[in-house]
Amino acid sequence: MQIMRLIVTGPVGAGKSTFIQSVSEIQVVDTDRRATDATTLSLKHKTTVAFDFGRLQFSPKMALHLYGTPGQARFDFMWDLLICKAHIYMLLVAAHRPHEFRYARRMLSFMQHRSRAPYIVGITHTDKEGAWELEDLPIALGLLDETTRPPLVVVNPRDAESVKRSIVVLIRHFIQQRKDQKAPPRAATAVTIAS
Amino acid sequence: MINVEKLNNVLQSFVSGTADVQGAAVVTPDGLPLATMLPSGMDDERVAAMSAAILSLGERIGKELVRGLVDRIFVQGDKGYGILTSCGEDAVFLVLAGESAKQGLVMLEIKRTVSELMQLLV
Amino acid sequence: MAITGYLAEFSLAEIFQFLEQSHKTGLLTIRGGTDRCPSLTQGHYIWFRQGEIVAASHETGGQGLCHLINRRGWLGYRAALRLSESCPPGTPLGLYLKSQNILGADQLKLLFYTQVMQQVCSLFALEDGSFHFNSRVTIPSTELTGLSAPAMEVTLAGLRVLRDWSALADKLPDAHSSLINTTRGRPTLRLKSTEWQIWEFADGHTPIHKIAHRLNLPIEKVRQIAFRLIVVGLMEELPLLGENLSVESTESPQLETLPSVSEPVPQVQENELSHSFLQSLVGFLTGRN
Repeated sequence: MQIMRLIVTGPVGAGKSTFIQSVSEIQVVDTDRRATDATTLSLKHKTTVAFDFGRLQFSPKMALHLYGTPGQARFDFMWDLLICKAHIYMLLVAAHRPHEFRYARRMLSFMQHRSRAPYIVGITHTDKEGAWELEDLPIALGLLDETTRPPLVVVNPRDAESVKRSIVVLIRHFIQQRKDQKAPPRAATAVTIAS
Repeated sequence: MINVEKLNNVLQSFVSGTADVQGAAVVTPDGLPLATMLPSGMDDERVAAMSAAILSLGERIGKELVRGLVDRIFVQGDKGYGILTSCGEDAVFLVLAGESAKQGLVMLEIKRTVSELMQLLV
Repeated sequence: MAITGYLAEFSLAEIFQFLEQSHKTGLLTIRGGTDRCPSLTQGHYIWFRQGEIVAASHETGGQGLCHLINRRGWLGYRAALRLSESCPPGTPLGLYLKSQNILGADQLKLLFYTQVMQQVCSLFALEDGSFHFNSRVTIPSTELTGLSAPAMEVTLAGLRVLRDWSALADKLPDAHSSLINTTRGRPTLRLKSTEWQIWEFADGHTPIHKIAHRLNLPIEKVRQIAFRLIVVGLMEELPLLGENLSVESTESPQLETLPSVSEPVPQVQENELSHSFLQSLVGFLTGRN
């Protein structure tokens, strides 16, 4: 049995649980609890406290496992448990909530220091009022160096096809990184629209 | 409105009145501390978050592996115990006890304390 | 799609960092006060060229600089205004006045200092307000001295003199987090001695509360200075794990198995994932099998 583990992470309300629910073929194992803190409550009623788990079994001996992390920093021990086992991960960030950009940067620096797994940034809520331009987001997220910047995709977590397209971008990035590790590094960056 | 002061009093008398109990906390199911009486150096927020995470996994196991509603989760290490007891819909009771603690006694005290806490939480 | 929002959510320091790092040109409008008392809203205008601040004013009429020259007592307001009308289009008024031997280089510097440093630095104290950046405006040459300052340099100056940090309380790095240097080599910004000391501790494993202890400074102070250095692009906050959980964390077998943060975890053994695995997965997701 070959299993690839994909971790979906990002601030509260970026759409992590929805992302996994949209694409999982099994009923998602969620660990949602009724939210009681003000930040979370302002966005939604339920929040993940351990992790979400979804699965895509695409051949008898091959599967993609998707894990969603909690968003709040008090669950950083879960971030750690999950990221250490990741083959690939995706940071989801809502384009219309600039106050979370700094928090997303903090999460990203945590992930990058705990794991060398390839990752991409998924931008959600791009259709909302006050959403930032796609081209402005890498800088706002502290990804300054164009040569080392991961791909950025627009993704609608509610739309299974959009979610699948973003996963394809992530897997292709993974394949590319694997090639680059064998070959001399090459400057690669692209803004891909997956929605 | 939950009376935090009364919760604290209950915790305090539980921790000081039960042999080898090192700390206790009442937390919300989404991982926020309501009242804590923990060994110094332990962070309330993290302890609360960990309690919520393990409880939610435990409940999930209870459901998927058909063990029914979870009443208690027990973590036994070589340095002591961590015991999580459900305290109604809105709270979880965490107890940290040393390795020399008498399990039966601690369990009895937990049961008594949970019923006290439940009255404060309604 | 816009660069717009509220200062309480995205602080002025973060806006400046963003505008400098993305080399933006345009007009940043800040309206102080809140929606609840709109009568108190006053507009503040800051012009950017390629990420540098070139001018600032409380008005958009293009006469702010003339007012400042008048206030300095160097020229009457009307005289300044008349001269500004004969200023060739595209030439900064300051440089024009200098070429006409009306103002000297030092006077221009003083003018820029008053116009940008003083006016903008005071904006860091705003508790809330809205911001809006428009890149489709022409910069009025009558507001330009011809001098400029990198936005993050202004941030550094502005946050150094900030007294009330309550508006930024949520943004400050956590006392249990460490800091990590993001610059190659030494920073080019001129730092003060405590800033240097904290920068030296940005090693990715010393938590802020320990830095404070080592430097004999209040934790709050170190968090503020660290924030200042983060928003000028010198370091990032790196959350530490388990550091604060237990007094005996060094003895904990669970924590021993975690590699230290400065040595990232080795990548998950990926040779278990065959080429055909990845191909079939992509095929499956794109609906090609």
